[in-house]
Amino acid sequence: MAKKLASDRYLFLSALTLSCFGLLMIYSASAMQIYLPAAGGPANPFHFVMKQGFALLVGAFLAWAVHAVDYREFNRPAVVAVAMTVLVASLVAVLFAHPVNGTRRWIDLGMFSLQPSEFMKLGLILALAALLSRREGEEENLQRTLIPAAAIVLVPAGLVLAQPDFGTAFSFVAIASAMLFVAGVRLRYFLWAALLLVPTTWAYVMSAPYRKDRLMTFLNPEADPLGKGFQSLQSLIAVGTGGISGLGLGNSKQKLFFLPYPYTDFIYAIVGEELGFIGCVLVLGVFGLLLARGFRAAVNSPDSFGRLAGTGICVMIVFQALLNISVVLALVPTKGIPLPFLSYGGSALWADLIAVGILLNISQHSS
Amino acid sequence: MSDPGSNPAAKRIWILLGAGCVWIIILIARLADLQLHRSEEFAVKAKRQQERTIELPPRRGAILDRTGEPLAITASVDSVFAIPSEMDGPEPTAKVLSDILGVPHAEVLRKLSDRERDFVWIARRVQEDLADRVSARKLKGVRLIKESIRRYPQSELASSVLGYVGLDNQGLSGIEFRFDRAIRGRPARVTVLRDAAQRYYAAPGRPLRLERDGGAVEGAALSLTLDASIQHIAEKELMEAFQTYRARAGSVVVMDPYSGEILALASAPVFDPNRYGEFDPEFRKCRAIADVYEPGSTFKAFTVAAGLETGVIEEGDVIDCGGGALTIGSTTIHEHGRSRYGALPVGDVLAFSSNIGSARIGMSVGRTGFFKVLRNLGFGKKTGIEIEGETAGLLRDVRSWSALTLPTMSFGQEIGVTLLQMARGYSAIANGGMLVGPHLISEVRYPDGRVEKMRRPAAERVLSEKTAETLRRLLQLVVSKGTGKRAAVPGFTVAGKTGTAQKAVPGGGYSRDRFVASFIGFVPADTPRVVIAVEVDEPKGKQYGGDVAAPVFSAVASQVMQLLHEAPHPDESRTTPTTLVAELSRSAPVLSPILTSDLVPASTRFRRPSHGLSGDGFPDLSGQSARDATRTLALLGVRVRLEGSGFVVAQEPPPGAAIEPGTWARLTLSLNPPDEEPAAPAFAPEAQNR
Repeated sequence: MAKKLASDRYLFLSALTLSCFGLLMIYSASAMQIYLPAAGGPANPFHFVMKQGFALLVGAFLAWAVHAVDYREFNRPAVVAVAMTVLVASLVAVLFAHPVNGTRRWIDLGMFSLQPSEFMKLGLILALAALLSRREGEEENLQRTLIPAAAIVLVPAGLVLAQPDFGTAFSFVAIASAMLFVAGVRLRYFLWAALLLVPTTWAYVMSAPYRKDRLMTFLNPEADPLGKGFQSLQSLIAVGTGGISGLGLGNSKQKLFFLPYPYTDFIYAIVGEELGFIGCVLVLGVFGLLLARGFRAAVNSPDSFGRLAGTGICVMIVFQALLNISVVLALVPTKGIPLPFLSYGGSALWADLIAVGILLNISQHSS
Repeated sequence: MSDPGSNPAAKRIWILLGAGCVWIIILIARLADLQLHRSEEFAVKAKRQQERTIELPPRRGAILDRTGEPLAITASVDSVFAIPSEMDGPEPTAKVLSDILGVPHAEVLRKLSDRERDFVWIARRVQEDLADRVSARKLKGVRLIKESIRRYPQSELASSVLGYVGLDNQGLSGIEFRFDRAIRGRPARVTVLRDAAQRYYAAPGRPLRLERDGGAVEGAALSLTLDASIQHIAEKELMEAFQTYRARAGSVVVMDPYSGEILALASAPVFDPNRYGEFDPEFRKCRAIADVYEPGSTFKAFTVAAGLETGVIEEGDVIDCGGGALTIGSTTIHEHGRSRYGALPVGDVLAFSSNIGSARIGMSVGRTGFFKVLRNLGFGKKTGIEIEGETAGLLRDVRSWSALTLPTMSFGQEIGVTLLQMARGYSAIANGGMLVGPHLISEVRYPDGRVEKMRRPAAERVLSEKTAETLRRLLQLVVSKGTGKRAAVPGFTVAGKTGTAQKAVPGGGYSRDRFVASFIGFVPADTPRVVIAVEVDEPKGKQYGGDVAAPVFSAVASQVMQLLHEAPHPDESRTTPTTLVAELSRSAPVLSPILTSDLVPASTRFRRPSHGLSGDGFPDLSGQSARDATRTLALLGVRVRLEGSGFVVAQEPPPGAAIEPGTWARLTLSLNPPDEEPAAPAFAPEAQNR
């Protein structure tokens, strides 16, 4: 029977801990940016941490607000349809924005800019959960389930690829796969999909020189340490230098422009350098706790929408985290995926916090 | 619903959780590998790129003359650099900098426009007033940094001895090169944090300020034996002759015959080491050590020395000069200017510079004996003076001598010498027969206060005291009545020898119009203070050593004698009799008692006046010989007019009167011997020389 429980304290605490710790690490990693060699660095060492702190306050409010809403409200077709329409529209709109660093990811709202693809992940989770929860028993029906599901994933993925943002498109596919797996789709379908997707992906990767370089760099990072392998190598140096207990908070030297953008995708390398093996394992542990508690909430959910949405949210946060850390540890090629809660970036933080809000609400319900 | 754990969806969620856990474990394993196992390896890599050991260059030690007068110093000057990335607009800044510093506007603008760069030199080592003007404009992104620069405050003075330094203050020639290690100092090595833009940090967040001299160990200062005043005199007089006779080159050596200390080492032409690049390398040579020449007649002194030393001649001997021609095989040797001498006393062979007389003496000494004396006198070997570029000269081995070698070498042909070797040989005659090591460095003063006295090569006896004394007497004849009259110094006796050597022509034979004119001698003749060697290469107009070089000797010698009493740093160990005796005794343990007693009074001749002496006013000179009185007054810087001859019976000013520099004194002399024997040991040499 459905029961109303208190929301999961561990879930809440892990998200809170990671966010606050992220704020600290962003300050440590970004304060030196005022000495950025070429003109263009911020004038204020607190520039990034203040913006992120503000985003965290707003995000915490959003999470609190969402956690108070019964998750089943998000299963209403109207809500899903409106959300998807708005998100797809903004993904299209983004393509006409002014490119930053060669990509079009942000919608400039004056005070701050939003990255719709981060919110798209959430929209995609809810839409897929809504679809799949209505197809129980016919998960493998091509017309009724698989093709709509593919459309829900591949249309946004294609738009994101056009930005171009391979990493986010890749997480869309990963999240969707996990949800389809939990929904009961058999493994052979994934094999078929892989047979289709791998050559496509290969062609896509090889079609752009920078993606090809990233792959080649990953396969042999030391071949060109000053060139394309620079980031991977610098990241490994940062992590490796940390040793067992690190150089101490704030003492990273790699953030002195050896490691580019140390406060975004490579913030975990700074964690490794400053806090060492202990700090790294603790961060991994908190993500592990988040995963376990999130999955627990999903498993305990009284309905399949909650199960699927909860699964999607956990995968979204933890899969991204593990993938990001794998990139930092040079286990997989550079992707451009931020570390949830820790990397600088308001959109991702809000999306993740809202997702945690939903997850917290799911955790209040149990069968 | 059934137990959630048995739900197929739940099972699949747990599978996902398991996958996540496996992934986390893989990541932890990877972290363990990187951070626990390979941590050292990455620490080394990190250190290599994050840390930089920067060298803070030391301050190069000064070079001082014997009185402490600076000859080479290190000054700090400003260099201007810019940080383009800090600039608002390069255009106005470029205009200002170009106007002040005189650097082309386009060049400055190009440097400043490179906004990617954080450091560009605009102008290095700029003049002080220009640096001040740049600094006063307070231009954004334009800064000054101190760099050190070597300066030679006396410009050309002793330049060929000092040498010069390159852009990085490294010694390139002369003393600067030879003593580079001592005076360069030790750079400070500071390990600093470096960022990927090659900027340095002392601590996170604060760019390091590079203090130029902070921590670096300053180089040692060198004290030379050179005396800047004597060097100046030598250079001035040499330059005058060099210009008057439009010579190719020239050099002067002024040397203390007892210690081997070089007081002056002048070369012409000269260069300014502050701007050495503007001068031809020929101008930068230290000719007295680098140029080898055939000495000609100045060498005859050594022939006579060999004759006396081996006992084949005695002072009173008369030498058959063959009526102006001496035929050996198919070659006939003539006198200079085709003079004809029948028989000459040994002294006149020197005084009139007889080639044939010298050849006869040399031949009677014999090859082996002559070679041995010359070898002992240091010919054919480097003297070991502390500058780069010394040549050994050429003294061929006896086995390769032709029949003509011995006779022609006896008057200074078929042998290659440096002027310094000649000065050293004459020093042996002047000091009583000891071969000294000429040297330029007296001490090295380290910045920690340690003073290292340079070890002097031990003097070696090469001529007997008797030979030396005889030669001192004979060589006076050259000046008193022979070819070297113009070397005379008023108030002093001079001993020396002229030389007019025809230059050898490549391919054999001698030039008719290219000569090396030289004069080498010492003053006072019987109590020598200094040996002075003068050489003028290819003088035009006149070519005789007696006409070209002897006047230079005279001019230098008279001024040096004036100066010597005022040496601001009388180095006690250098001239006090006890030390000299000690040194001589050490190097020649078998000195006979006669020699020792000979040396004690002899060495007192070199005592410099104590500072107290000049304060006491005019000494009482009554009863002293004219020579002694003159010397005493010369040491006080007083010039003398003599009336009569013999011993002092009256003096003006009277004893005790104040002495002003350049004062004249008038001494009245009488031949009536004084009543009392002079008691001071300073008069003992007179007895020796009688």
